[in-house]
Amino acid sequence: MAIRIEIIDDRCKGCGVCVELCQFEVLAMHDDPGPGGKHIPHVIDLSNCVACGMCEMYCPDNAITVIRKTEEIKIG
Amino acid sequence: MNVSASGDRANYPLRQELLPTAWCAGCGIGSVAGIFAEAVKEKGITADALALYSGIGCASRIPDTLDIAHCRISDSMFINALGRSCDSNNGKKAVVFLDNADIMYTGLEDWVHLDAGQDMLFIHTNNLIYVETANGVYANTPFARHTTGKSVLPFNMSGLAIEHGARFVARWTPLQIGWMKFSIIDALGKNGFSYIELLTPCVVLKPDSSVVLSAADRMLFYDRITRFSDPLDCQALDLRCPSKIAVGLFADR
Repeated sequence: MAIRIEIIDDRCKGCGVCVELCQFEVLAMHDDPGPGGKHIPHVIDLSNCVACGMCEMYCPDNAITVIRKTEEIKIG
Repeated sequence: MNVSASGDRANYPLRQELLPTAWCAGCGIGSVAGIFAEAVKEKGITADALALYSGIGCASRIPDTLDIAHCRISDSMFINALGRSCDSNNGKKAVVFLDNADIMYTGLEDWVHLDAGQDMLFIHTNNLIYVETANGVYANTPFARHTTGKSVLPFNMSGLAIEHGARFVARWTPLQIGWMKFSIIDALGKNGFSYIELLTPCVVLKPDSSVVLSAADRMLFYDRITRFSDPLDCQALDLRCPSKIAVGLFADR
């Protein structure tokens, strides 16, 4: 299963809940403030992600989407 | 390649064009909006079958983020006006996003006139703000906590809802937002009066330094101060209890 995490910077307010609740240290906050002066999260190690969806569920601004892609298997 | 539905929020009844929301960073109200949208989708309810209501205060803006018809009642007789509106909504499930400002503005007297058999789901974001002055509303120290000023009795709306004959009553914090989604799904399937409370204090201060906790620190705070109550243990609802705050399902009938 391929996993992709999309973070919409315009929606994020930099509360950091996603980083705090990620059990696998996939996300971290940017050290430098981005546009608007807010620190926003970014993916630091996608290989650790198990697609639990905690960041997506807890984000108060619907700024994170965890996209899970599965290979389609054809039989016959 | 297939993309699973859980990764596609564009299909939810969220009005994407209105995001980001106007709430403070990390506020639990934003979580309620997202979770309600997911619950509606998982329950398979169409927008035509719902009627959303809200009053005043921050939580009154939740319906704005959803692509479902809603009515805002800024009336000092909020509950009475709500009852009249629900009578004329052609059998739609009424979902009311209640804010503490509504309770302060209208008082609780109207609750006794609410028809317990009316098909309504109250989702109350209790931000633990109680004091209203001419200059605005402020957080006050809950009863039995240390303070240099006045303390106030916290609302026990969940207890009041149970006494009023609610079919479904649950209480959660933003840390248990996933559980809250299941509560909303269950409550949407109930006929009659249901009530779900989300305890999400506006401001949490560290007692030693008076530093305001960040949204991330508040999640740890919720973990520390809450406990899962025994199912249907209504005695645990009192927020004055000096031990941990009880969360969970308190009525399902």
